[in-house]
Amino acid sequence: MAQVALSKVNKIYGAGKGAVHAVQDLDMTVADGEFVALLGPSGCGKTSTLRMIVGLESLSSGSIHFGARDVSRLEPQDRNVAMAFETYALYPSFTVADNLAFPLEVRGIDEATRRRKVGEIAEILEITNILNALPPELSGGQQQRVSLGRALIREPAVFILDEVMSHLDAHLKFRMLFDLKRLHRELGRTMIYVTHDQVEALALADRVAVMSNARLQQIGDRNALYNAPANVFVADFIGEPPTNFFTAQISDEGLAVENTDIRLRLRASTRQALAARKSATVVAGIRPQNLGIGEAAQTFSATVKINEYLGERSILTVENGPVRLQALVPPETRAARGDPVTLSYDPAHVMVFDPETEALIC
Amino acid sequence: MARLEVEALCKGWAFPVIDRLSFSVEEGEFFVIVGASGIGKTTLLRLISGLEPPDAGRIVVGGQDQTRLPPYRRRIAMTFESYALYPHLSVYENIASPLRARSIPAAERDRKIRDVARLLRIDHLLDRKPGAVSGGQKQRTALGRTLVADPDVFLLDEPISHLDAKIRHELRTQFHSLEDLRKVATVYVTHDYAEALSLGDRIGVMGAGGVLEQVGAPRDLFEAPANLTVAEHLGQPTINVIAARLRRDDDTVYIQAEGGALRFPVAPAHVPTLERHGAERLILGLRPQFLRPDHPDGLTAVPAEVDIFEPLGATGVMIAHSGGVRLTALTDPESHFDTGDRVSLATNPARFHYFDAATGRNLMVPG
Repeated sequence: MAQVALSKVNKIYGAGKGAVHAVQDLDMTVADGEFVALLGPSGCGKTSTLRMIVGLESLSSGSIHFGARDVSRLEPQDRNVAMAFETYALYPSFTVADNLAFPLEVRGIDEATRRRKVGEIAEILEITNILNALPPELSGGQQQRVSLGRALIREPAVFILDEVMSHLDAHLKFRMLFDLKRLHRELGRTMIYVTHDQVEALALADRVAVMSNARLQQIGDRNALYNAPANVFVADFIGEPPTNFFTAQISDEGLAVENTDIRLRLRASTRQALAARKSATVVAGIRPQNLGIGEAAQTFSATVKINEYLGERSILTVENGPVRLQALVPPETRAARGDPVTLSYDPAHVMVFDPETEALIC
Repeated sequence: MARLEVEALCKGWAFPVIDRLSFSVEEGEFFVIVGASGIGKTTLLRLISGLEPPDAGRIVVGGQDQTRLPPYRRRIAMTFESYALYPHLSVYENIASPLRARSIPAAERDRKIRDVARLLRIDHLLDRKPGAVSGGQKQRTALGRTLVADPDVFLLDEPISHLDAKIRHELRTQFHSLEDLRKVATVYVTHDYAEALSLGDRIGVMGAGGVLEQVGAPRDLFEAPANLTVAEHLGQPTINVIAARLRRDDDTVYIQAEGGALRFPVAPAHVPTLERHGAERLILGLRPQFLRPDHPDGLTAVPAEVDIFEPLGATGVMIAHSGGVRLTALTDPESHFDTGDRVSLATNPARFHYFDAATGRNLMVPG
């Protein structure tokens, strides 16, 4: 059991002109027993961060503490951290039980204890019925669980999962989400989950750390990331479909979206916050799920370009002038390409960002 | 310009991978085959392209039987899951490779390559070699190479499945605007039902044993699945499947879960069909989206106790139990529930599906 604290962590690959700053001034604390997801696109620095926590990569500067212990310079095997990978890396000629027992065997733990622990972990992961099977006989989901089990059986202080679900198909992934949540609840371990998929991150973690361009952009729970994203990147990366953004001018009534006839009303507190600004230009954002169809107090018109029926819901892609935006609508919506459509919104859902810094204004 | 016809195609005898599979794709039609991993989707594409010979059946393109033609004589462009890029050529040259053999003016060729690269968001990588780009970028290069070709038939094998979630959704939307794809017959294979519903003019759901369980428009398949396999494959979370019995109580017809107290009234429109069917044992299919604790547009409700609640992006997912039966329900993402909360799950019995207990056939869908 341990808290994980990263303080002023930097990772620079190479030197001189070709140097790549992969992780920059990262400060982050994962509480004891907390489940945190490290989320970001390819190349954002999340994998370098993870490798530094595990000890597979040295720190260029800064420190990492597990509880009170500085582990920054320790070898991976001395850190009491376990990691499960995207690829299962199981021994194909060992049974599931032997694969699970292997990390204990190399530590010289006696056979009776090994057998008891394998039984316990198999029960938690619901793989008791396949303990005698060989990995090639198993489905992808089963192999993934065995791989998790092998990492967990060492009872590490910190447990790290690296994109463990990206190779599973949609239905299996959905089940694994619930399995991992339950696993975390039952084990109460500190867990760090690395992924590029925001749905997985939000579903699993107590808090999500969003990374981009080597920097931590924001760490928070779903509510904070959805309703108060720190900047344009977070607002865009969190949520599916992504937030609609437009360049707009501040006017007396609210915002005039550039090159369109869209006029967005704002709530009073937002108008006040904007009144103090020198520049009239801002970036406005509104989430597709906060755009409805049909008449309401606040609306604007647009033309349908694409109606994507997805079963439980539909995504309408619409245009107003050169601006293209998406709305999440009920699957009954029959609007087709070329149809005019009225979209409604609540002024409370309009987010406003600084066009220079891209930071959230209000 | 041609229509694709697949006639009674077979591969494998004792354990068929593809079993007497027939379908046709019109010129300009986007046909999606959706099915679980390992079900035979890739094999089907390899048979159509000529990379593998079928054991029986015919492949007809534009009225011409191509079953015995070698792959290079067929006007078919296919993406491979393994990308198969030339490692010594740049991304640009890889995309250009299908155009080299044909006499296309240089300016037009260049425009085609840059257009497709921009669409796939790899226009900044055109000078790089495949070894210097990520897996997702390789996949898009391979897709670009297929898309610049000018075939009679496009065969796309999970072309966006290995990409980051974010870019996958972007490309899915962009596929709708891709005019070239809308001119010829396209067969698109995926395991992702949302991709299938979004992109397909028609969808074929592939089941075990290499058969198409149902072919139809996305809305028809989702709202009127021919059988339990189709109903279970389309939709997330998966449809609630409940073994149940038909009961009559005075003048009301009920559907009651096996071994539990859970029961719902049967919608009047369903009663005649169920009575004609005659069987007492049925399988009730109830989509989570029509079982909601927070939007009671429903006509009936059942009490339930929450086991797990997870907010998942655009919706929340609740797993609850009612009368000894486990139910999955969808909620508003902003709502919050704790384990042990007592809720009332509202639903509309007109939305229920009833399946034959033995065959899994949807009793409300003719045929």
